[in-house]
Amino acid sequence: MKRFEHTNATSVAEAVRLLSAQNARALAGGTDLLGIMKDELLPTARVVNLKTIPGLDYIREESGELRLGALATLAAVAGSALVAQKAPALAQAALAVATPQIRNMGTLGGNLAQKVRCWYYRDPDRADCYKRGGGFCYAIFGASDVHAIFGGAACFAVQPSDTAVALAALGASLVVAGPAGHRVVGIDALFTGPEVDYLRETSLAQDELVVEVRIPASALGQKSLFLKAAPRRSIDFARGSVAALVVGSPLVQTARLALGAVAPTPHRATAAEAHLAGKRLQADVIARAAELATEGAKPLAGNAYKVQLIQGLVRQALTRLAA
Amino acid sequence: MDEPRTQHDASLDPVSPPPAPDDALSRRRLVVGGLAAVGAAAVAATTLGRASSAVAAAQPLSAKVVVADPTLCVGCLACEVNCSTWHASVGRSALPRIRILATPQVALRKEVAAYLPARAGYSPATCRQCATPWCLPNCPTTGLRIDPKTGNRYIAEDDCIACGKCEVDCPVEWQGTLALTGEAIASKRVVFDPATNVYAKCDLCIGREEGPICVERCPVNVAIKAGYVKSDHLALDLKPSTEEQWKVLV
Repeated sequence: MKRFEHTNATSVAEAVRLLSAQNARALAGGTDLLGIMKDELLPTARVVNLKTIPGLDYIREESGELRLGALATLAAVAGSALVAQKAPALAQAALAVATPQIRNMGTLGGNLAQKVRCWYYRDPDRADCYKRGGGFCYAIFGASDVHAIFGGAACFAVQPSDTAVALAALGASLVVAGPAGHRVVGIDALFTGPEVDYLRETSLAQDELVVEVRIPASALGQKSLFLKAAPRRSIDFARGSVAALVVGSPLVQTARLALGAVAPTPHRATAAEAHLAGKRLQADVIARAAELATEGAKPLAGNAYKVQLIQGLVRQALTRLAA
Repeated sequence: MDEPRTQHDASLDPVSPPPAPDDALSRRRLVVGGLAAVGAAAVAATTLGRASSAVAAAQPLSAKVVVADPTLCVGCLACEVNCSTWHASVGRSALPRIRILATPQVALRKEVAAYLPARAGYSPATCRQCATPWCLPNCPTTGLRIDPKTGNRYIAEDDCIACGKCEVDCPVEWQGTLALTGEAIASKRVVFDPATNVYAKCDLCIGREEGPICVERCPVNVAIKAGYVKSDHLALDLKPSTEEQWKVLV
């Protein structure tokens, strides 16, 4: 690992200032950043420790919303009675991440800001792909088991965050701090695809950081859940995931269905959502929603299995919500 | 009342309005292996007027034009992304000058389908570097240029005043559904960029030592050159621009 400077921020404003230096990176739990640094995937000259900023790890209800500080650990989110009651999909997603040790250190903000897990991107012995500043994608004619079946442009790596998928279904927004102050951005606008900039996964500038996650009143206390499919029951990143929010019973008033690990950003299954509106969650309706959720998928050589996988997850998720 | 800054030369006016959207040009269909031919003279006469068509017809051919084979395209959009990124990096419009249309009826050649069976149905299309450069004569500045060495028809974006006459006179369109967004596109292949206030078209990456970046970065091309996809031609290639070549271009 190359030499780097470690600095402790004592306020958000100070962190933003420190992050404006060349190749400065934000450090919370460090469960992604340390690996990135060891494999030299991002040049890092300065690490800005956020754990020394007090008061960014809250979980509370405020102004009708559920608000979580970005430094809340995944373990705290997973174990919070408030989150379990008001936004179960988020609690389930946080619990699905990695392992207990990683959840104790990893934070909600860091889970959203993590880099992709594409095995070519993560291979330090390989010549640079697009996302590492090169001009090639190994997955297109290579091993694409973990890659996108929707979207993709030059780069086909998927957004790996489980909490991102849950927050997409919950319609969350985020407070982002930067040099110009704070801005509120919807979850749809936080994540960006490779057609915008294949070097990045989010719209965050280097000197910006997520400070708060907000779940709107429209989602609070409604039925929601998160399901994840992965090779092992623990530790693995998702090969496919589904987060569902259903408002209204017995007739669905609105449904939000987000798919994970199948696109460079959390993928909203809007055709399936439209189909569910106004209907009862019975078997034939659910089956059709599952089909619609994967309509338009264009798998690569190794990930056609994700089509059936997502359909199964959607059926399971909606069936459980109907019960 | 101000004096007009230049004398108006009526001989350069088009003799008739540009083709209406439902004319023969717009009824072209993309079929594997060929296109309905459009007579150069007929187009010139209806769009430019006699004096301008004479100017256009007198220009040299372009040594190169990007030629696409849709049956080899897997819709990865690397061409669009690289086109956009490279042009932005040299201070030009970031609009992609090559677009991939979603054309579900196009099948994939079996050598590529062996790897990516689910990724048929794409057609790359870009500026045809027309043998008769209809975009050139009505450009009021030195924006639209022809490189005397290579015949490359390109826009020197610093000199473009975004009047749109090249767009009016361009005889080729992108019409259908964009693979990138799933949304409809109906435009000429020289397009206005509101971000930079110029028109942008394929300029064969003029100034780039390695040549057009789309041809270099196409992963099917890389696979063909490396030998693991067998093909006697590339998915995106560079060919000399001729009347005959123009007729078979996507």
